[in-house]
Amino acid sequence: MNESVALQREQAIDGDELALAELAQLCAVDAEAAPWWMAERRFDIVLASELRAIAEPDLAPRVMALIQARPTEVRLRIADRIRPRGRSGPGGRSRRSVLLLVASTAVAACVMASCVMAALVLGRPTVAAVGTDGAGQPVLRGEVRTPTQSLTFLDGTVVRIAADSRLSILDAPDGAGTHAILLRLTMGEVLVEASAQPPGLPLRILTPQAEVEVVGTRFRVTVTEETSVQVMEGTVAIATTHQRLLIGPGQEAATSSDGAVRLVSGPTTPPHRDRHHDLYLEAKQAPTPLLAVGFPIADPTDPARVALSGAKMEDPCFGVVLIGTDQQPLPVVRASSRLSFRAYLDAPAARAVEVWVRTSTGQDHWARLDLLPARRWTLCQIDLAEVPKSLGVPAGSVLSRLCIFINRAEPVDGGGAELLVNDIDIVSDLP
Amino acid sequence: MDPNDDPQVMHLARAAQSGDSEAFSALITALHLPVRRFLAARAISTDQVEELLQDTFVAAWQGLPQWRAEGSPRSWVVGIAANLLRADVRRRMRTQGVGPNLMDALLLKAADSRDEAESDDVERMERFAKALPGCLAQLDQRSRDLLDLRYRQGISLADLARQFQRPEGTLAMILLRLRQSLRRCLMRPA
Repeated sequence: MNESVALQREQAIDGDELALAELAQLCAVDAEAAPWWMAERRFDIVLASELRAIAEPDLAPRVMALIQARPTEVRLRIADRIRPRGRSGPGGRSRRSVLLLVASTAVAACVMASCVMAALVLGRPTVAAVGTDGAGQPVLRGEVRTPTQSLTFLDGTVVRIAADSRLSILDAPDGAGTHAILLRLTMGEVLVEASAQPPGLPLRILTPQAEVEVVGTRFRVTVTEETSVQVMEGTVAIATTHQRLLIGPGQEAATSSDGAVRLVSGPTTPPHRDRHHDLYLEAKQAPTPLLAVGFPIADPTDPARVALSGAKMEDPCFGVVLIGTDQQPLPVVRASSRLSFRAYLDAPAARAVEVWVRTSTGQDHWARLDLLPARRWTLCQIDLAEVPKSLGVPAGSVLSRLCIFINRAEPVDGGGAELLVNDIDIVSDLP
Repeated sequence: MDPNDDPQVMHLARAAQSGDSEAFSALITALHLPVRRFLAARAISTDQVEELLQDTFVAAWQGLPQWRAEGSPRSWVVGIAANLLRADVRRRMRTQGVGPNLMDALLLKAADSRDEAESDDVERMERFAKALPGCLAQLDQRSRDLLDLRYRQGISLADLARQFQRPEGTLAMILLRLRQSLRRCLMRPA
């Protein structure tokens, strides 16, 4: 195995969608690939499980704590895995799913031929029209054939395609509204007039250099040696593997060869709510009654914040996000619970993110995550399975509060934070 | 009685059935490794192993009143784990389908179609577990730390690369060689 395959394997374990898609394609040309992957994963799982058994030789305290601390009939599961590469918000999972769907067609050929099992898994490809072209003809997923000049999707989104562009439809909304528009632009230019995007399913365009995600409504993407995005209305996020930038009306941003995103023209004040130092939570499949609250924090003494959070903050702090209230505590922390968030810091003095949790028994736990000063966006991960190390919270605890602070001890002006909780899943059918 | 059950385990199970939580705690200590290995041989992720492991014993505690005291506690608990695993796998298959991760889907399907007999894996898994500490001891501390971070703690390659200040590709190759080395050691006859 060479370095690139070893790297791809590790990235696939981390949930990297491109690595997974490439691995799936490998299955299409190599009949041994799928069994190889399963054997590798099995070894990983067994090894990890035994390492955990060595590190935690006695499971009993954790289980007994879980049995004794179950005040709720609802559980929250947070993130099977953290997928840090190339992710930019709640659409990350569907990007991966779409790429894998594309690859799965090829994989089906080898796997279905080799075993009935995979045939049962793979199912049939979808062939339904996802919209119409400028002549009113139905459009399917896949590469858009020239000379199509415009596409109208079922949700009303219109994409105008410049001549000599290469655009593929990787995914598109269906009648059930469970899919988002996902396009790949490898060359040329498109002008997008996006309809209102359903929560968690933003329109996205993949380019060789970046991923562009619609937060607002009308923008232009141009791909040459770099990707540039010009926004006419609303807000758009442009992200590379290194950086993510939100741009607003009148602004244009472009990627650089080093993976950076720079503002090319337009007003320099960020159009996003970061300008107001907001903190907010993005959650997929969010269980509504158990959500965090996000609120302006320009004034730490703002009574609105107290009213929103339902909590009295003893320390003046730069920012905080709360999950859970006294009435509805964050449910049982499961062994695999993980929390990840990106902290966006726009001030030179910003240097630390701190996490505070209070358990249902009233115990407080703190963890501090120092930020690299050179990076504006920092992905912070808290593995709640590793809470003895990070927060000191016993596994199985019930959390009544979880707060994220930015520069708690040294309030500074500017900055904000984004808390991203992955894959919230309520399991109501407790054993 | 299952030959794997010793009388002490049966005694603990009976005491736990009568409401003795300390006996149940001791029962967990006695049985968690075979249950863990049963799950690890079938689960699609380490997280799933951890979740189902603790769920199994929570369910066992709740189901103790229904346990027939003449049956094998170990078989009974492993049976709970098998049921929970099957339910979890089917729920994931229902909710995830094929799209989100084809590779996981293959593992899910393999788990779903797997024979639930524990005995198939017991010997292999226990041999693996027995040899692992010795094989780990043959590695240098830095390698052990890397394996711990990657496999036990589940740290992503990108984060490891930052922590170790090495390119991701280099770390991937180091991990590959560590796995190969461990495999060779684990396969070696005792």
